[in-house]
Amino acid sequence: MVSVIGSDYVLISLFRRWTSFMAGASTSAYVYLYSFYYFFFKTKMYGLFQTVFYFGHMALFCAALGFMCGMYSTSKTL
Amino acid sequence: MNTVGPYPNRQETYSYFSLPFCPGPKKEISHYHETLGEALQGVELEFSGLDIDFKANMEKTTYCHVDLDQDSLTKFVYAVKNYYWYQMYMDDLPVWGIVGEVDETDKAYYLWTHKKFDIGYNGDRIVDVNLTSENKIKLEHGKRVEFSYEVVWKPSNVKFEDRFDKYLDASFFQHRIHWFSIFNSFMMVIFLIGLVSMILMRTLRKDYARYSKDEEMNDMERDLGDEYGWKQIHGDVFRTPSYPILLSVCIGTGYQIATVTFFVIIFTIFGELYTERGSLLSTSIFVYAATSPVNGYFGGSLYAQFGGRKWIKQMVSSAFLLPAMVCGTAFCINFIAMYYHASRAIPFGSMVAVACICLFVILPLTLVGTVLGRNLSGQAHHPCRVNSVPRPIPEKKWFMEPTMIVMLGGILPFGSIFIEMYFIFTSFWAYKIYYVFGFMLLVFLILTTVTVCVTIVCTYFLLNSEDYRW
Repeated sequence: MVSVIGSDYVLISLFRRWTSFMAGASTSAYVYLYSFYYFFFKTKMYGLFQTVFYFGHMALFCAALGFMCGMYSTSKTL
Repeated sequence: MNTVGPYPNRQETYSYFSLPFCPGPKKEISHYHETLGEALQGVELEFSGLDIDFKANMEKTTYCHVDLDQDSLTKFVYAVKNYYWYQMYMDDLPVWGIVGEVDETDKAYYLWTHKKFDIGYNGDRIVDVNLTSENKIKLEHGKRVEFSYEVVWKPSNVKFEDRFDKYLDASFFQHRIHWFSIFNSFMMVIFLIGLVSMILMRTLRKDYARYSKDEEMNDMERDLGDEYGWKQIHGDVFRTPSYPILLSVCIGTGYQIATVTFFVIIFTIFGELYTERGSLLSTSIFVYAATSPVNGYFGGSLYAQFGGRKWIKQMVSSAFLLPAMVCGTAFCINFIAMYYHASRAIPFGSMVAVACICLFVILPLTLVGTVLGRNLSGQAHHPCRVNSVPRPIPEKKWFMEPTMIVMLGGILPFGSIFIEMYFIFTSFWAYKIYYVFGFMLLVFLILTTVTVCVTIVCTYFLLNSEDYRW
């Protein structure tokens, strides 16, 4: 019984107050997925350098977008 | 002269004279200053050595020649095979030309050796440049290739202010789909605002009804009462989040990014920054540094509200989170760029400049913001106290779990921006100049509204299922 409550508490404390931030930030995850689609079907890029460049910069862009959207969702519900 | 690189890979550029081209006789360019933004984008201007005098037509002139040995022949063949093209600037107007072409019938490689410049002028300004490549020569071993150019000046009616309009692809950016997507997102915003206000109205009305009923009950009944939904967890919602430093840092950075995006879009709309090389990047860095108090203020005040004590750690990490991410990525890319000898490799001087901006501008400004934030709005003003023992969260359907809500919450905002994303990607990775920053501002605002509304709805559902992990 104690262990059940304990594990439940760990789960709770792991997620506490992050859901709304993540709900906003998940927008950027979708954008990153879209960038994969864009890379493979819309462009003709090739070579290691350009590929790394593309995905590196897209990751940065999506991280920034994620911070921004997460901020929006958290700030309005806090 | 600027850069040369394969056509499908826009960012993979090399310095022009990495191919065995030869410069013209003139050695000096009158004046040229490299800005920080240009240096970071790998814009590396070298003088082509072509002597062009204003309004002086030039007959076909040979300016230099190259004897093809095995080495230069391989380089040229490789470049032609990979559709290399070069970019040069004449009075800040970009000019593009292709290095050579492959003849499909006899598998031979040809090199364009003659450059014909058609330059339009209006008054004493250059308003229009066209480059035509002519006179292709087959690449063979031991052959002497002579490079020549000619200049034709023509009067033109284009105004100096409008000279960049030629490069803006109106039929691409002002396509019907673009308008349609904006309209679509706009309808979504209206729908969401309606949904949110409906939820709020319904809850409030229910609550008021229950309160007025409560008045008639005695205390005993109220304690056992039929409270349900989000009212039961009021003692848990203001529990301090896990990883308060990380959360406040992320949110502070989010505020800063939103501010930077907004100001850069506004500046670009009014300043037409897209016409100058690298000025958009320079402006962004400048605005980012200048708005770091915003980051400090919101991050710091939030952390203080969480009751955090390690505010110096919080401040330093919020100042360096985004710069560290950017520098980390740039560092990795730089290694590969150096391996390829691409002109994208960031020179050491620019790196030092960026590091100095981080240390001596962003850090102090963030400190100012953090101190202000902690003192002005560092007090938590929670309407109710926090229970000492967390309530257990009841069982519920799978789609009410926070993970599902997180995944669903991103879909609508993504739907509202993904058409705009296509245009932004295309302008960044392909050869279009993005200039419809009015659209971008609109989409930015729509994204803000949609995200806010969606999260309000999500949080309502989550709290209503007596889950306080919002």
